[in-house]
Amino acid sequence: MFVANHSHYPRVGDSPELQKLRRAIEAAGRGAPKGELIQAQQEMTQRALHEQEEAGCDIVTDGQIRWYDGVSHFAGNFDGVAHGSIFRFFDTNFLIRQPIAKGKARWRGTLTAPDHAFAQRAAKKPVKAVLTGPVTLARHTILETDAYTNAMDLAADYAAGLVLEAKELFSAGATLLQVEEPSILTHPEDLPILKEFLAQINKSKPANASVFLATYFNDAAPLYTKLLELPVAGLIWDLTYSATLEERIAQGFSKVLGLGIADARNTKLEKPEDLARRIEKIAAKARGDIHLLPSCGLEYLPRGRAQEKLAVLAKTRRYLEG
Amino acid sequence: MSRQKLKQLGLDLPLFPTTSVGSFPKPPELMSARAQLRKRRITPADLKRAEEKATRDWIGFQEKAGVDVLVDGEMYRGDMVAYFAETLTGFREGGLVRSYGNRYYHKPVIADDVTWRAPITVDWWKFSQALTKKPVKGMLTGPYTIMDWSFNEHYPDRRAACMALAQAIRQEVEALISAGCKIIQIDEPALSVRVAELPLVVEAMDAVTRELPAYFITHICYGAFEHVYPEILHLPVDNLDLDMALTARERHPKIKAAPFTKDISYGVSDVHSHIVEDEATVYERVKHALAVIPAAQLWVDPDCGLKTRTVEEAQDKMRVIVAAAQRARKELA
Repeated sequence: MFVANHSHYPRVGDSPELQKLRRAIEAAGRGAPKGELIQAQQEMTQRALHEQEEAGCDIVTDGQIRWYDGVSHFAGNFDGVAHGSIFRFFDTNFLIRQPIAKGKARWRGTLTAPDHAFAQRAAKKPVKAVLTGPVTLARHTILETDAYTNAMDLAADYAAGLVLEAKELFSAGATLLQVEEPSILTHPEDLPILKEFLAQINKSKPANASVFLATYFNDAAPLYTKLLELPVAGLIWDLTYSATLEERIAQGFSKVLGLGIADARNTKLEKPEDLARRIEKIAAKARGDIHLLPSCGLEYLPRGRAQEKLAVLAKTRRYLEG
Repeated sequence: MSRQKLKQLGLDLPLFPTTSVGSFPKPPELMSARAQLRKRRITPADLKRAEEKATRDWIGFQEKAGVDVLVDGEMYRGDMVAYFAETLTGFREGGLVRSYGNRYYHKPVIADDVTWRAPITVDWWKFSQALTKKPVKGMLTGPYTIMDWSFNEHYPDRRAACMALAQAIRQEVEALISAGCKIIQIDEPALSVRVAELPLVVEAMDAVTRELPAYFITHICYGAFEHVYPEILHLPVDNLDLDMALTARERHPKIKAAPFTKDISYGVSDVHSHIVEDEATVYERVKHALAVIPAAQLWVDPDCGLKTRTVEEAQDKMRVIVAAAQRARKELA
């Protein structure tokens, strides 16, 4: 059983020291040398890695400290796609920059792989790389071009670029890759594109690498069987949105099982013994590894509480392992 | 229908009334005063004087610019949820959470029973209304949005938290009406993201506004309109304030298919751009609105609060909106 971070991690905290990156971004906006911003990003990445490790994580992420958001970070790296106005991300109070496709989407080249390599050098634990999947990117993009007749066509081009990025991540040493696809839960008609995308990634991955699919912000139970059929090593579930998902999982699970069981959208701290009781039921019939995670990225929480949520998961594991 | 209601309330507004969504940027001297107070270099009374001056300036600007329905500009508020959480009982301040880009806010935590103990916005509304003969909107955040944008460590579920907040906000509405306020805006920008909870938003808004004598507006922005329209027309308010400047192309077919039955405050200016649209662009947006909205139902305003712009940008945007509306009155009435 592993304790893992999900994806992002708060990039500022309440103390002046933990607001250094915020100040550096403001300064960069006023024309300060870019090197100062890069240094602040690197320092905050190191801090985020350290805090995850300190909380007891076995698998960490770089915290996505450099990303504006998970959608525009990738969509904006395609020629033919511009940044639009802001748009609420699912049911959060977090706003993303909505991409606008103005022409054929063509991947510009390496984006996150150097950041991954930096994080892995700085971390003591394995760093999981994260990509936002083509369905979620396409379903958040406004089409203002004749190059695409619908979002699925655009998703296919997004997929082609993201496969290249996955290869770069593997070349940079990534052995754990999480593909995030919250939009697949609201657009199940896009499953064939997602399946093909994951198959392409599998072809390019080294033998020692594992690819996981993460869904969140909606009930995955209606799509459960179809998600199980996808060519991934593991599935990461958000257990906070569904009344039935845990029961389905408890009937047996053969892939790596990611349990998003600590609510990353609310500050209320779970009791490890309560989580342990729920996990015991599921673990009895799980044949693969189990990852204990927050239900989604941690940037929806204040920094201190984000770390505490990870610590709760670590305590839960200790409780389970006696 | 809503025009009738406005008249019954003694309000005679022109065609295409102009207004703003609520917040204006705080001038540099007020920002400095807020920072000084945090460092305890000035007193709360000093800060209040700075807030009053900034409010007077914004009321004066709106009058001079020809805006029809004014706002106090929220010079005394930080975040639209935290401001109410600081005054209602049951909340404690949470840590910083990112809103977008490099913007953060202290997300409140519901830690106990929520109750209304005293007027929150009434003194500022009275202060602002005393400065002008034009109507000043009462500006509140709705119970669903306060619930959704707070952490809940107390109530068993979202519904319980939301309905408790509805009772508290209703008391604030009653206090505003008692003070003489006739137009009250209750913002619910969070409503458009959990479609399954829309009936809860309607129920909570009903608990806030039922049988109260005011013209009610609710502002909704940056959400999945396609999932909540036309159901949002069930909200028990008179006017829906929507961001339309950049979204009209996608939304108009929906509105054509299910006609807009309420008044609309139609956003014609992008508040997240430093670029001030020219009058012709905004006029075309007003004209375009009339393709799906009857003239008598149309108000015009920016897409959202202007607090993230500079003072100059916000003022320029408001001047352009007023000029475009005035031209529309002449050419499109």
